[in-house]
Amino acid sequence: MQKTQKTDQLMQYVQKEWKLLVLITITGLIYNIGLALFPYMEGQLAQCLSDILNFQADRKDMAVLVLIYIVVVLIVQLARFFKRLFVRYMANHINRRMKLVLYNHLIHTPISTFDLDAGSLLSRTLKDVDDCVEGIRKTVTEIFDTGIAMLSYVVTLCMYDWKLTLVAGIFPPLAFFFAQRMKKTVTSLEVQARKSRDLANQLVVDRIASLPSYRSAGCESNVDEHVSQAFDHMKTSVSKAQFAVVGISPVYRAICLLGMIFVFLIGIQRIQNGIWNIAVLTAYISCYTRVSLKTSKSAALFNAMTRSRVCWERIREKMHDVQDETHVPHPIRNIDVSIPVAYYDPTIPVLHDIHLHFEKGTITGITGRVACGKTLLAQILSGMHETQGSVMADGSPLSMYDVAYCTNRPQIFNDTILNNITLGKDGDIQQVLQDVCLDQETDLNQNAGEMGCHLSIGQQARVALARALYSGRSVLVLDDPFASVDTQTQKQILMTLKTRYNDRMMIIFSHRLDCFDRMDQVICIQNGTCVCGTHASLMESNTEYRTLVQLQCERVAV
Amino acid sequence: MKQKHRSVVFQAILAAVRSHPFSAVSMIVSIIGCIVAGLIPPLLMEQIINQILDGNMDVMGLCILWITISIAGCILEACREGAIIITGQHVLYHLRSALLNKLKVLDTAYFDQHGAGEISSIIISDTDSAGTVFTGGIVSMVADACSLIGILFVIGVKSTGLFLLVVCVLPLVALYTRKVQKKMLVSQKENRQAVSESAAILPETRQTYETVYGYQAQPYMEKRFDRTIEKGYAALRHVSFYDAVYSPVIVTVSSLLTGVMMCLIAGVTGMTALFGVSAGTGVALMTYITKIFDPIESLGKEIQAIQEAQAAFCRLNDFMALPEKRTSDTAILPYTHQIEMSHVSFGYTDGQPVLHDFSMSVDKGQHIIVTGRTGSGKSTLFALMQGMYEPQSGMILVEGRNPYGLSEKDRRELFGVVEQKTALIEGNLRVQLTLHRLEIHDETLVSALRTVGLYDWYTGLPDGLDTEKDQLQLSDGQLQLLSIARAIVCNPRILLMDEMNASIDASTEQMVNQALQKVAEGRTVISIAHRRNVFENETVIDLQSIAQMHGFPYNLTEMR
Repeated sequence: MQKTQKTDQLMQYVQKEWKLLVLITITGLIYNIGLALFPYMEGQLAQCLSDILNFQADRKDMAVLVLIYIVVVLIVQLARFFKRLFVRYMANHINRRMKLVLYNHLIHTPISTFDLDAGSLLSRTLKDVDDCVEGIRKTVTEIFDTGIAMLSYVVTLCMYDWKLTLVAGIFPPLAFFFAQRMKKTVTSLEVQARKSRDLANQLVVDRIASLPSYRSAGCESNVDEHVSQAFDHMKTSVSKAQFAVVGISPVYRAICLLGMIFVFLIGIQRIQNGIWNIAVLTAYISCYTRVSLKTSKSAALFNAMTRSRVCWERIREKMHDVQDETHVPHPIRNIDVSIPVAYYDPTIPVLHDIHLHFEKGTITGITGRVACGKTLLAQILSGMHETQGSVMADGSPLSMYDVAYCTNRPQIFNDTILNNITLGKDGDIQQVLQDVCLDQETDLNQNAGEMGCHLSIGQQARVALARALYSGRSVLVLDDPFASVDTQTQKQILMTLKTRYNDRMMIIFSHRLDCFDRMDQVICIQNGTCVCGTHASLMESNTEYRTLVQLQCERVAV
Repeated sequence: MKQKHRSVVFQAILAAVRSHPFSAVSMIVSIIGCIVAGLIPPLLMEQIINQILDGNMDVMGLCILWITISIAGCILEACREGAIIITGQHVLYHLRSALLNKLKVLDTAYFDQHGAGEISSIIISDTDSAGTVFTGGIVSMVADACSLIGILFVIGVKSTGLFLLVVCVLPLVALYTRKVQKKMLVSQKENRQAVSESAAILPETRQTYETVYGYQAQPYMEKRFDRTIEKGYAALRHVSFYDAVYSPVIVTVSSLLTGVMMCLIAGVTGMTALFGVSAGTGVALMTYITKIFDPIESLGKEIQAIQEAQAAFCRLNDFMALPEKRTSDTAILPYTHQIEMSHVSFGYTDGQPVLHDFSMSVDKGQHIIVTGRTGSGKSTLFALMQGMYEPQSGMILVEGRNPYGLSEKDRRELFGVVEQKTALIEGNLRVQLTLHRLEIHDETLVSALRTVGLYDWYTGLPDGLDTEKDQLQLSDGQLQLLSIARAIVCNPRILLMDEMNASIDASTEQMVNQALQKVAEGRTVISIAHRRNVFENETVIDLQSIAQMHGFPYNLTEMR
């Protein structure tokens, strides 16, 4: 995995792209400084045209001038192309890296905290990354296209006439300060607009979701009235906010244009005095217009920076890179369980007074009625669920990394069957495929589909079992592995498990009791606690177990 | 077909224009004004330069005019933006209102087949994209086309030569623009596909938590996630390239045009007449050349926006074309029982009848319990009584009226419904009880709360009836009580109670039963329940046995 030291520092991501940043700086400088040449060139073109028309210049002069003009254009636009390309590449790189770090964090977060990050929140976080990076891209772009460009324009203007520039130059900063003053208003309008939009959307969802209630209560008109009011309110506030965003920029430009009075006044005077010619005047005007245009957009620079900051703050706490540690699974000989009480919700105890013992090389079958707490026990035995009691493996607390746990509902990834079994670890899988009876019928490169939808439930269960066997762990906790596997296959698989995997400890939770007579130990969950024994002993002494077996025989008979 | 598809949006536009003619007119005026104001300053500049070159330095008047018109252009631009936004929002409002009004008349069956998410996305997102297309597509397309024509016209008048040059180059630029935009669209779609794939891995990780953690499959999952990111990234590189290349090429082309024009004016005898005769004209033309390609780029974007919104248009029109509730007669027939159902057959899908030739009658003040297994038609029976659906055959009368055609007012006076699963709606406690029926007084609400035994809870609330949904903190039992209170606020004559969740403890159950007994007094009550013996003298209908008696007309009075 990548070695990032400070993944929760925004600048780290930018600094990592220093090569691109250097290229961006070079091309950006060429482009934006070159831009300032244009007003000059255009002025020269106009002057030359005027000279030719007055027979003061040759046609060749024009040809040379045009040639120079076009070469400059080509260089500048080429630099511009590369600058744009590199900025976008940089943004893409940062985006990718951030998403990887984010996912890395996510995947190492314990489920209890992870659970709060429900679906929509997760995708919103990804959206935040996109927005944050888009903000970075805009910031970098604007630093050059606004910052450097403005600077080079102003330098050009000063070179022509610094006094005039000083006077006329008051207006662009004035417009800029006006823009900054307006920022607060704009933001608050945007917030209001978002609120009213959220409310209206919420009401629409509610209107439809609760439609039967409204309809049967005979109050659809009343609700619609209410929703309609929300639409109306949204219309007003969204209009205001949108106008504040796009409608104000022309006003800034208008403020800047006021400075043109001085440009014309002084410019014409200078031509009268013979200090300036027409080339200088046009160049100056063109340059000044560009400065005012840039000013009206300079607020974008600050907006982009703020937006990126805001998004970053939201995702920052999730941007810790966690190094993957690999635990080598220990071979476990004994597991001893002693739990006074276990539950999902402290007010509703599910299991109590559980005392169990498991040994290497044995198969234990665990059963009980529906909703008796089997899955909870399976989670405890796989080290997934923390309890008050002790679950000891050879004298030290059981680690989930020593257990291969097949969940009740097979957990299949939207990937090939091969990858679903190996989980990316190299090795020969033919043996395990054979052991779970998957070898003949399956194409290993077939995609399992979303949640395994391209496979039958029976296939899913066997893939999960193959995964558990392939992992090489010494303890296997299998929660209902044969639910959708036919009896014949089930017998065959169980036989293989017993003979080939006799060095493992197997704990099988099942409703299907026809194979329980082959288990070394049988546990029946009854009234929230466990009764241990063998199939024979429980048949004799435990009415609950006997009933379960009899019920199943009846069902099979039917 | 396409014509029909535009219709809802088109109607909304018409409605918006009709209700707010001022904003529509000012939109058109400001668009035209903007185009004109954009065309004039270069012409003035031409005059200024020509005058100066002629030695006439008294041009301050022209200069002031230039500044004034430029500023006016800015102001007009702001007005245009404002007018477009406001008109666009009006259109959006009318579009949404049209859809909202449609909801009320839609057949209930539609909501059984389509999820709330799906329908609300039509009302929220599809209208949004249709609205965006109106402002960002249709209106700006017209505006851009006009400004393109305007610039071409001025160039044509000022310089025939440049006009010919531009006319030659313009189609090429347009072709290039569309090509780049199409390529970008393809890559953007690829990227979006990859983004949704990587987004799908997030919930998957959550669902396969035990496997990922237990097997230490984190590196594997990270690799998979990276693969999807990589895919999107490859697509994005294409987007970046086209995005980066477009504008520099356009600027280069317009500069080349300038260069060629200058050379031709200066270099070829006789060309001066064709291109224009003064330096001022040269400067003006240079300004126009830089402006002429802007509308082309915008036009391309607008075409794309409209194309992309086609799907939304289709969904909107399909929604508006959905079959509506039939308006049935509202006549009051003579009746002997409060509720009469005779030979009613009904099924949600053809060939799968839920009720078959079912008959029953209920008298005023009767307390009836309906039982039967899941799927035996208990809830359907309720829905039919309330007139949510129309039976395929047979007749239902509630106090002599066909419930399907009941007015909202009659419905309130007749039925109070306690639902199987009560969900809180958006809004405060008052809204929870009134469901926005504003005419209900607060005293009525409080007395309803007292009746169901929620008065103590109510007095403990921070803002009384104004307490917001999130602060109500109701237990399951209290939610059921609230639902009962909601049913009785309009003092209905018939109470319909669907089976309520059994997930409440004994003491709460007692409270619920007490509340039920209280509200049942003097009313006809029909309830679906596992719970029995709430009411004295209750009559039990078992739909299961009726189904087995298939086709046997069932009359409650006879049963007694």
